[in-house]
Amino acid sequence: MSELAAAFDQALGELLPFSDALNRAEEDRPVSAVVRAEIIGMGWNALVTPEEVGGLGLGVGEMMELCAVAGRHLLPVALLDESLLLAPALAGADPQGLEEVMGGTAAGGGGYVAEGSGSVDSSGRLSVHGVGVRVSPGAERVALAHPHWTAVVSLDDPAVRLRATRALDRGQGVRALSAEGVRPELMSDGWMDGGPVAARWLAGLLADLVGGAGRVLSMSVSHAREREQFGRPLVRFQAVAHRLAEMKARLELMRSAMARLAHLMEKGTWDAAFLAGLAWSVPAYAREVCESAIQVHGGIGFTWEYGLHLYYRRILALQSMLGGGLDTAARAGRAYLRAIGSPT
Amino acid sequence: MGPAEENLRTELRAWTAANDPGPPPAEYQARIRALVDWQAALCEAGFMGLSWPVRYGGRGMSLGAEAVLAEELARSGAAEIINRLALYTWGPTLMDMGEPSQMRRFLPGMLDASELWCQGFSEPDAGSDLAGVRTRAVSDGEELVITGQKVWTSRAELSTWNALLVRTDGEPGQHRGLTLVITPMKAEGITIRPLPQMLGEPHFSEVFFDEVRVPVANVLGGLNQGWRVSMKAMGYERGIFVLERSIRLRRRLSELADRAREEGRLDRAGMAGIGRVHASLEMLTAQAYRTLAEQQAGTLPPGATSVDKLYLAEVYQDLFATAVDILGPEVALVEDGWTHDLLESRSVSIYSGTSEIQKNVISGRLLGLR
Repeated sequence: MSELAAAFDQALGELLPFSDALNRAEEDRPVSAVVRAEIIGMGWNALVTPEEVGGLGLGVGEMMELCAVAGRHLLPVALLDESLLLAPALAGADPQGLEEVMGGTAAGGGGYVAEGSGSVDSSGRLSVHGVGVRVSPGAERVALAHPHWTAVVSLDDPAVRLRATRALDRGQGVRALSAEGVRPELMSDGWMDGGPVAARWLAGLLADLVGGAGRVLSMSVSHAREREQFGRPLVRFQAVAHRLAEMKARLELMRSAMARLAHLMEKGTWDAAFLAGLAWSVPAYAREVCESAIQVHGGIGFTWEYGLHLYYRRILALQSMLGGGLDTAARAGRAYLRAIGSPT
Repeated sequence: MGPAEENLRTELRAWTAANDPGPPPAEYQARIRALVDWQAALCEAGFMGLSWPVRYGGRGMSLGAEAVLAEELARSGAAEIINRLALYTWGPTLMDMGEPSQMRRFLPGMLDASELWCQGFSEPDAGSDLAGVRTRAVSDGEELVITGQKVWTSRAELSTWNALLVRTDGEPGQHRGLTLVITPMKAEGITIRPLPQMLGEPHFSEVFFDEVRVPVANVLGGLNQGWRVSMKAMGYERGIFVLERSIRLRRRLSELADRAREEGRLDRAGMAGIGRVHASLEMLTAQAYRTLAEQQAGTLPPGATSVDKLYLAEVYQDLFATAVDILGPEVALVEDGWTHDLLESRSVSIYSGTSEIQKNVISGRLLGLR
């Protein structure tokens, strides 16, 4: 782990204790304003925004490393949306809005609009129906990433409605957003068309899941070393050791793929087919790892207080928002066919 | 990849465009002759042993250069390198652990495929568990006298040399007392019996040794050091191999996608199957690149390549199972490339360490669960 990531890891360990994450989920409430201000005060909301407009301008590899740390500590996802999607979307177009988001004086959020859940008409007006977004308290605007467009929408617009839901991943400020014919404040390319902002944000969310998967694997290994049944530790049972090995293999594959994505993004040679592939495989593999973690823990893994469900909920929510297992795979298939020049 | 590797890519593209002999013949013997000729031509052109030191006949380049070679040959659909076992496993092991006289004797024939290599590890009672090796070698002056049996020896009948694991001490079940001896396959006392696999092709054989005499000078890495030598060799095997396979599988995926589209078989589930295999192959390639980079940097953790091998088997089998699902009922009517490869894919989770052994290695070495 780099020095920067290690420092961030330590800071989040203090700011976001696991017990607090459980309470927040139980009560479906956001992190306190104090904690939010501390995290933003470390520069979180300025991570990838270019230095010339006041951001930290982190490279993709560094950004991913920090997102993996964020995933380990269950950093509120709305903060990833603010930092990686909303702030860079505002950069170069809305200096004042950008400054407010980076400084934490204006809250925001973001979400993913799957194919079929939203559209833009010929005059540039946007309609979405019941799309899941994550918002920080008092959010003024959200960034929306569709495969073919990225938009910033003001929540003050009367045509925009937010509906509270009892969401799968609680404590994240999840709302259902609907809008009919709204004119977005800003529009740019979607990640499937090479839009760099949304692509980097997606990469950050995937890195977050890899971080979470790493955390639940280490929890599982510790548990299986310590817990004894039939007079020996669980790791002495080959069935358990093999399950842990499968989890480790999945984790290393995800890390290799993310490292390759970072490399390609830093060179500017990534393509949509590769990213669409990871948008299927990383959530799917993180989910497998987490399901195995619950299994390896036995009964304790299924309890509320142990908290594995927090990771599981985060993974399931993100996988579903990206389109679910089948549709993300089909989208990867279409992107692949385009990449090899086979018309669909 | 640095500039040297990218220059190599340009050089290779130009050369293969002018010299690609096309697909090798289907008939087995003719195919083997064509593959030997193909490697000899690649060697003549300076493309064999790219990462070998210049003093051993190589070009002294990085493992990245070997990756470029694998990519370019696989991308153009060119035939595989027949003596890959020698080039990527036993050559590097020899350079690492062999005597200078052994290097002079054995390395040149590896490069131009004039001497093919096979590997004698598995036995009827020693499959995944190499400690079970029972083939015995007894010292008699300057010679070892070998008696026993090996199985699953690929290309035994074509090979000049066998990297043979024998027991010179200890009892079956022990890692100590094993010795790696480079055995000439034409030696008196060797009987080769082809063992057709489920595809009906004689890819591998049983090999019987009846008091076969081999000079002690052919021992690699010292008497009773066979376990250490074998583990070293296995570490060399995987990086390039997995990369090369992943690129060949990508070619197959694009053939599948084209055919499925032409036949109108890409409904939501079909498209998802294509997408899933595409994503998996990208992950496999990323894993292979990481392994190569860590091998080159000398930072590859022991046991790490088990992830590559385990996942190769999974993706390999998933690709052809998906193909057969997508292509529909006609599959039952013809034994074509797709069904052939589906049958063949079952071997991938068995050869070179079963998937279960890979999981033992991952849990033992990477997770430290002993």
